[in-house]
Amino acid sequence: MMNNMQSRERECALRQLMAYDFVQLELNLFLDTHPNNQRALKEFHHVNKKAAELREMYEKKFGPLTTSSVKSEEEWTWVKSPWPWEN
Amino acid sequence: MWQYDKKLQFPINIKNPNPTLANYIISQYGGPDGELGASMRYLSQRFSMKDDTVKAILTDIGTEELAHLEMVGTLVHQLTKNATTSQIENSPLALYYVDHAKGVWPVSAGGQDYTSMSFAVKGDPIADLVEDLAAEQKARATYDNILKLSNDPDVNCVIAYLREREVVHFQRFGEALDKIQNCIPNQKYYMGIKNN
Repeated sequence: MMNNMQSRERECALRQLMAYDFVQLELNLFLDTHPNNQRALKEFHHVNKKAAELREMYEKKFGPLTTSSVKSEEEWTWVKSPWPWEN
Repeated sequence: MWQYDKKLQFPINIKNPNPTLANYIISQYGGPDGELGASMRYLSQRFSMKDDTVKAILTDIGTEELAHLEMVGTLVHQLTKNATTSQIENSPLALYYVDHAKGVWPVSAGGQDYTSMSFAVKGDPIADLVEDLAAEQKARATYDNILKLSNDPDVNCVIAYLREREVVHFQRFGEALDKIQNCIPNQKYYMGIKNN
């Protein structure tokens, strides 16, 4: 089990990733109906890159967010971290 | 094809159990304008759509609605998890509790089971997109009603977020409808009939 400090650190890192993933989705929906908007497309790539970096940092420290990012050869880490609906 | 991301779209951290509020909010899980119906509506309408913009927006908004379904389920779960039997007994959730205890099951606030009759797939682009615009407004109005009935700030920030998403989706569906009605050269759709 994580102690309080680790848990706060995890929450903070996750929220940062959630914020970037949200902006990415918002730009995704906008681009669906504005496919020729260069400014939005540029912003999408910028946010996408930043979100990927944050995701990699988070997963290295706190475990996989998707099954395809399970790295361990020794154990099935997917089932170890808390589930999103648990607080 | 979908891949699950082990996180919510927006953080939820409810401190105070409130089975009455859970009973109101569960309507957005399985009620007539809830997130289950929303995701099924958009993801099902895709198959008969001809326009690539509309296919994309239905796929992406339909997927986002699944994330909202998870958020609404999380609200219900966290509002009931630590509720005492006496709190539940003195709330409108008591009748639901008899069959489902603290499980989350799709039902309306008034106790009606989830039904696919709460949404439409007509196989007609205008009928389907106009249905989607109305659906977003009905969901927005339901979140407004929940906000009027709730005074828990931990809940209200989540409901306000979900409400805002309905407004954004309404805008995107409006643009999609505008595209198929007006923006295809030499083609106009009026009431589903394509004219040259």
